[in-house]
Amino acid sequence: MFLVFPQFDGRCGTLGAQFFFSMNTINTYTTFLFTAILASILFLTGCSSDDSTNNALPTPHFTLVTTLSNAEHTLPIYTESGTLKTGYNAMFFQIKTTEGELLQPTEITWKPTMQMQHMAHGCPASEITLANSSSAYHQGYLVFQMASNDSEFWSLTITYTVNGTNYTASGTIVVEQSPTRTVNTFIGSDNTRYVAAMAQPTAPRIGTNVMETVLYRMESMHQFTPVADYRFLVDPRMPSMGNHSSPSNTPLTSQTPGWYAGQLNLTMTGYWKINLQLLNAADEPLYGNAITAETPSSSLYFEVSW
Amino acid sequence: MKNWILWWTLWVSATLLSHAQPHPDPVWDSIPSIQLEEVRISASRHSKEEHKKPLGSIDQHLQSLEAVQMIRRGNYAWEPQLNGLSPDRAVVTLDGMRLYGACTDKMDPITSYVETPNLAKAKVHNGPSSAGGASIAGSLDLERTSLDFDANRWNGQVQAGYETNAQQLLYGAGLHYSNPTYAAEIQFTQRQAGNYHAGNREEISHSQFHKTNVAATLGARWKPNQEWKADLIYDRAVDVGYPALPMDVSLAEAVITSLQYKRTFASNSVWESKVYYNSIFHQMDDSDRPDVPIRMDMPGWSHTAGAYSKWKSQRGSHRWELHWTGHFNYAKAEMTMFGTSPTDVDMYMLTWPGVNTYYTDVFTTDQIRLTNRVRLNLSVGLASHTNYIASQIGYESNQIFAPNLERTKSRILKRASSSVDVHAGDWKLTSGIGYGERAPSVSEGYGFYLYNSYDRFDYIGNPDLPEERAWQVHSAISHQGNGWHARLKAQVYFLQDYMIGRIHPEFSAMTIGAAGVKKYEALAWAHQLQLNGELGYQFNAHWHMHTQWVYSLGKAKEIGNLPSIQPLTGRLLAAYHANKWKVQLDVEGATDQPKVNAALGEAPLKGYVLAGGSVMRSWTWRTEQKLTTQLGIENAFDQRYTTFADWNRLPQMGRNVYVQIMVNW
Repeated sequence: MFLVFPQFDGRCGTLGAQFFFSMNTINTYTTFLFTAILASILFLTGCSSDDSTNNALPTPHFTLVTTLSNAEHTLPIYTESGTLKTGYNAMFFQIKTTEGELLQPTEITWKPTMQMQHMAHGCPASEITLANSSSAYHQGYLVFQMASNDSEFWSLTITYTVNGTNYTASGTIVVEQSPTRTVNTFIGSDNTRYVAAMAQPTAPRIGTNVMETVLYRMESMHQFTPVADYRFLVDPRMPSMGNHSSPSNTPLTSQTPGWYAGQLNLTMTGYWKINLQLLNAADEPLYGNAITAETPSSSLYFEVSW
Repeated sequence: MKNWILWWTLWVSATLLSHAQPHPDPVWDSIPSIQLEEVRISASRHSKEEHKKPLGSIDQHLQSLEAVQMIRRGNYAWEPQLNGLSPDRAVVTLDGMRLYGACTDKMDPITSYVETPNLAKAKVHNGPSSAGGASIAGSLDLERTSLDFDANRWNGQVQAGYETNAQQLLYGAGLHYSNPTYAAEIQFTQRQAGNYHAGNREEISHSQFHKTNVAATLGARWKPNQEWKADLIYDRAVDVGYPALPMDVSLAEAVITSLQYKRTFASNSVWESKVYYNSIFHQMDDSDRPDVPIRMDMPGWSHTAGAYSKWKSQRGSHRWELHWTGHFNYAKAEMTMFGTSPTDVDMYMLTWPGVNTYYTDVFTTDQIRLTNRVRLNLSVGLASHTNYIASQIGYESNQIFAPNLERTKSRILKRASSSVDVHAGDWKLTSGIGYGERAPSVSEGYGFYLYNSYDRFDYIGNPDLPEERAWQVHSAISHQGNGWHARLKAQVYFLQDYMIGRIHPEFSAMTIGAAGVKKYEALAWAHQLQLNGELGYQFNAHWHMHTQWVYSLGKAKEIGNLPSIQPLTGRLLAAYHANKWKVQLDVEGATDQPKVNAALGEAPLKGYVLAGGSVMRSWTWRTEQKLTTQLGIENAFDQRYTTFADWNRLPQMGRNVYVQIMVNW
């Protein structure tokens, strides 16, 4: 299962340039001395190679959210921000004995449930895989469609097997409302319920961003299956600036079942509405609108603001 | 590349070898080249010559040069262009120093960072091969006033002027001290105006400006014939309006410093070296505009450091110059847009992505006196021009349009020219050919959504533009008669890979209300023709008359007419000189201009005729003390008119009466 971790923001090669050229005060002839003789210069721009792979877990970037436990084990759960929000959440947890020994059980499954006033439902959940064998981090993601509130709450049950014995650990988890819209639940034109959530970019930049989205079909209250071979058309707009777009965005195409990736170009910071249209495997439109003068936004969209 | 180095080395060697056979001949200036043109700006301390409007702005002085047209976006910071070709195709230098503006919208040509008293003269060299640098149309050099070591005393100057149309007030003072070893000069000038009025008393809002300029020079002559000079100019303009543009300027500030060494040898050869640094900050501001689609702050920075060395030598029948220059420039511009409600997030982008320019240039020119009547002028230059995108954000922004964007781009730019001047009795003929190449400017190569308010398109830079190349062919003939002189000159530029924005319908505009996006591309060919005519007649010792005309044509592949083509424009002047008096009347006009480019936002122009006059009187007492006054009127009949060089057809000034006083001691 392919998972993407938050990316490093490479600033390496440009540090020298930033020192050299950050000028808000009057400079001296030292800059001249370096440069007046030069005919051409090649600056090192090579940033360190991408550190985010499936196995490296930069622990300072992960903060404890909560700990589930049972009589024998504790399960600390981590995310990058230390909170769980509506939408896509990449989560990591360890299974430890009360003495602190790390376990690598087999057959780990998890079941998120939202307990509402009159009914309960689940949410899209990925498989759980071992991220790092040396520090025994298990990873997966959950997509929460709504936040917890006073009367309705989310709980998480993790089931695993150690030496032939089954264990479960449960607990309530708090899901906060994300300030930007990163999840959509909708009924497509095929009368099927879908959940789509934006996994990347979490740290948007001016320029080309990798955009990743997960798409699940709701089979029943507690069963969500990843959808393969569909396609998202992408049209990012800035509503406060005449609804202008950006050039050369690419559609999000199916990578592995449920996982879609494409290119999102953002020309400036600010608030962007990423309008989407969902097409099925036969390229038939299921949900979402194309942007025209009469239709400034799509019913299917994510928000990015920084 | 190797061929060019070889060619240049051979040329230099040949020149050096030829010095071995001297030809005795002292008179050089009897055949001035028609490729060069100059205008005096500040009367020197000892000069008897006064100008019609000596305290007029630099822009007004430059406009009197035949080769220069001034693009106006307001009543301040007109942008000079040479020979009908856009300003990116010419090089403007200040005393040999390169400065780069800090504004993406061209509101700060470097001529806007100096004041009239700073300069002695402005010189134009037409054609692609000049000492100023790699260019197409030519180079314009603004020469600073020089220190006078031999005066051996204190000199001072106070000046003041007032103009009625925009209530423009000018005042300033200067002090100069010299003794045989040291000389120093300090000047201060303040120039400010309110809104100006076009013909029929129509007030042009947002056309005010306030400008302060301080310049200081310190010179030392510790050994005879060796001169050191340290120079500083500080220029600051605040609250400047640009009525033809959607934004104004809250601050435009420049610090220009240099250190120069000059040595004159017994053979009259001169060695001059200079090291310099200038720093410009420019802040665009729309807070005075009541109705904008979105508020924005647009600051820009430009820092340039450079040096040059030049050697001028004269031996026998050769007058030879060798120049080396190098400079580094960093240019960055940002845009922050503010949403309408308090919860809106600010929107930030880089319009110039923090681009470094590294430039090195070697140039040599030789004027060879073949006979008493014939002179051959040759020049050749080679430059290396490299751009590097210093800002990571800037690099990633531009990558959106150019996924394979190279962070560094290097170019080699060649130039050469040859011309012949013939002096045959009362006739002078000159003819020549030149070739040059230029690199794209920061905006043409790396601009990111730069809005052009003339054609209403957002412009995107193209770093892969090939070098623009041009051949220039020129010819001029002049005749000196009995009390009269006449001259006819023709210049044609054949350009290849002409850089211009072309519409890309697949990109959506960013600026609210823009018509779309254009990206800079290269057109296979463009050509530009300029014809100049001049006739002067001296009636007697006091009266003379002078008339000059210019006609221009320009076309390019696919787009038809080039933008901003000057129609047939002419000027007629009648002047009376006496010992202390000078009276002048002038009439100027232009025909209609139907040759416009509608796709670039131009509408056809109507012709106009204007009349004006001036009276000058000076008083001298005790040899060094002089009081000069000028009183003049421009556009006496308050005509409402606009020219080919007025951005968005901004109307020119209506009737303006001016008075100027200068006291020298």
